Amino acid sequence: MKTPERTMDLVERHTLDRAAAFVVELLERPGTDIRVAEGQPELGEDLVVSGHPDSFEILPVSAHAPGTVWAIDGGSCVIADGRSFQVGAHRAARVRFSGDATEVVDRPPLVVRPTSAELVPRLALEALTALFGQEPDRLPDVKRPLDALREWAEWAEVLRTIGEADRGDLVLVDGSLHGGPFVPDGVVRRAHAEAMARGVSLAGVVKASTLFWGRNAPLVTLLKRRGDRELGSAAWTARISTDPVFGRLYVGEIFVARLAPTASHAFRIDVARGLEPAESVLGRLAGLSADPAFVGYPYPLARAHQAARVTGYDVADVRRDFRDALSRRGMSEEDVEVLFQDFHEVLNR
Amino acid sequence: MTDYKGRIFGRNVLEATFRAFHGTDLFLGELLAAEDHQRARRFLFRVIQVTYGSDSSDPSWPERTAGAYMAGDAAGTPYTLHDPEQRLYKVATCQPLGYIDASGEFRKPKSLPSQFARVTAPTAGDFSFLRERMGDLRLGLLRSGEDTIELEVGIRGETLTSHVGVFATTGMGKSNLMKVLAGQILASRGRYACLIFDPHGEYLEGGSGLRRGLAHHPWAGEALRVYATRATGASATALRLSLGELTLGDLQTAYEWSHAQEDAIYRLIRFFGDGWIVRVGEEEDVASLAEQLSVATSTLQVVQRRAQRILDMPCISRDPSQPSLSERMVQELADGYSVLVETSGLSSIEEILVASVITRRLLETYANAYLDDRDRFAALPPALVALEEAQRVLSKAKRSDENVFPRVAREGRKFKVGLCAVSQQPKLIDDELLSQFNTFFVLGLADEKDRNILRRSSKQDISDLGPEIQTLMPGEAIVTNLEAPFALPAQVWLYEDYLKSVKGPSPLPARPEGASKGFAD
Repeated sequence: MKTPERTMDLVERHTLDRAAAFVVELLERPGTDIRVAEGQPELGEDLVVSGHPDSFEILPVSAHAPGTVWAIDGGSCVIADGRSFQVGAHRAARVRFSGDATEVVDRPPLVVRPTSAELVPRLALEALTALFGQEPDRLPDVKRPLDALREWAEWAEVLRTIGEADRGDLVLVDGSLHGGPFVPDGVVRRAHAEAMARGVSLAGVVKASTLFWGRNAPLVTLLKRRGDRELGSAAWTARISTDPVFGRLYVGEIFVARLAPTASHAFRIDVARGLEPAESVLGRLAGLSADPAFVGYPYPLARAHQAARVTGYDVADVRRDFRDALSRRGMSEEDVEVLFQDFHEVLNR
Repeated sequence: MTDYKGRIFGRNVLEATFRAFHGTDLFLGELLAAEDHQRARRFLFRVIQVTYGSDSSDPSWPERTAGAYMAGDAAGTPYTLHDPEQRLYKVATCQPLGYIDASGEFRKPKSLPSQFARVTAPTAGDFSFLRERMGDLRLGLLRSGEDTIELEVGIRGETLTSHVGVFATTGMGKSNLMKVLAGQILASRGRYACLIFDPHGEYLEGGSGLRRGLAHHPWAGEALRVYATRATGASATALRLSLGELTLGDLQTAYEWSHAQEDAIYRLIRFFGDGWIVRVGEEEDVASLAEQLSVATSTLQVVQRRAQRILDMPCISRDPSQPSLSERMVQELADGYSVLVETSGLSSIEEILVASVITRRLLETYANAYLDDRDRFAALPPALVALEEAQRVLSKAKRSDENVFPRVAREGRKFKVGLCAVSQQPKLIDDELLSQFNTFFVLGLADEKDRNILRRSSKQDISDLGPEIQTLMPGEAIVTNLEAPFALPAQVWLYEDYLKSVKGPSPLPARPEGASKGFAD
């Protein structure tokens, strides 16, 4: 009998080469269109317009005083996963930054929520009614309830913040301004309308962009490469929403921007239409992106992220508290153990 | 708010760590206090290290952030770290000094303060327990980092006889400290006496510029006697020692002799008695003399050259009818005067020779009083012999029964004679002798070997104070002795400032009118 050939390699080398070839081809392969994945949330479809990464105008942007800026971000974790149900915890945090310093950090306690296929419609109805100000026409299909709870909490905080912000303030959202699978476009439009009414600027910064050239080539990466080549060490912006269809679908303009001269990342940035021109908002964002720990990323959003973040220690603490709560409710130690059992932990030992 | 420094978070009974605000300025050697309300104790600490801290969980965050700063600088767009007070902090490592219990007693650090105890700047009251231990020879103020606390630091005059070491590299304030110490002895009204050998004239006159010396001390006229090898003014007496006073031990202390040379000297003494130095110094036919003594001519030539140098010294008198002044000096010391011997006209070896003669006479006089006349001995003031570059006479190579200085270090305490060794290189001092020194004044010392030898011999644990000693500024000192509960950080007074605070002897009251009436009539 032939013994299988033993190898010390961690991976099958030919699969590694094949994957690399795919990525290289993706970046080089000519495409004819620009795609916004799930860019038509109401239809659940991508938005596709014709375009080429080299056709967008890249313009230098000057940083200027950011004034008062609010930033909102959310964090969540799974406390217990019973497969048929989950218990999760989430929070939305916000900061207010003004005069070069963070004045306020709101880091509320985590909200613990059970979710299940049965509970989700009720949770969605409650949350979206609050976000719309009225009962929604229809409820989204929520496949990841914990993510949905977090995003709803974030947008509730965005609405509250717009209501509290002064005229001229800028409110920053972690993510796009075109809604998504959990946050209907109507919620974004309501936030935009209130921001317009109060003279507040609204912008969203997207860390994981769904903008593509052709089928899958990441547009932000391609533009960053072009910006580096053409402008070198400079902060710049490129307006992506040049096609009139964007104006009809979205509350604002979509940009790709490198917000600091030596930033290693560029981001998709959505700027809502308002009293303040988008160029001015982008200048304020550049003014916020010169912190050496987060070069090229608006500092208040980094602070909001840290405030919202649920650390491993937090998760352990909340799990312990939840086990105590289960015990207080009469659940036996053995049952608690079974509930928290995860065979992956055994496999990963 | 400025007094509030941070909160303790670690670490153990022997080492405390606390988190300080980003903007809090912390210094090595800074003294701090922490309140333990639960047990009504107030802990005292000394900062021995300060490091950076940040709230980032990524250990390479500081390096990456520095890199981002540099990239911004290179691109001409400097970056600014926002909210540094919320993101950055300092971590100070402290040596626990002890704690003050509910009854106000100071106790050695054997317990932990409560975790997260609030750390504050100490008050003068926190160290009031030290006041009674600071003795009568005050030299400066308690120092906390770069500030001072209104508490005078000093030593008990009685401890002078258990020897004092003053160690520092050049320019760190040895001479200033010595002048303040000698000044306090002058002002002690005869309770203590001091024999100072002054090789550069700086103790007497103060050295260059506006510096002041012991000659300017308000008590100089009353309590200081000056002997000099060169003309230094009417107030100094010309130094004169008798050739007959020189012993073999003095010569062994001052010079390096080979065994052959020592053997030659023994033969000279046997042949010529006390007059051997004159005999060999003036011998014209060295070869014949060498043959007569059965020693090598070259060996005898070395002895002769040295003998001739001694005979040429202006302060050495061959005339036995001329009394030596060493006896007078010792008598003055016994009477509570301080004696300064200005040796700037002498070479280093000649200075040691002179110091050896006078010190030996002092030790013998005090020892004889101790053995023969206890009442007289009881009346003698403790005397301190101060010698610069003391490693010249206290090194292992100089370990000899005939060398008077190691003898003073070992036996002087019993006879009320102390040694003040001033040195830039304590590492060259015999560590067995160094362990006899109960008081150390450690000023800035750059050499680690110097610090290590002091660490081993100090009467308090100064093993954690290496970085502090290394960074001491001129005039800043660490004082260790048996009296203090821990190594005391001190700021020595500038001698010129100290002089302003010294009250001289009260002038005689004016003669009452008509007091002499009747005497002249």
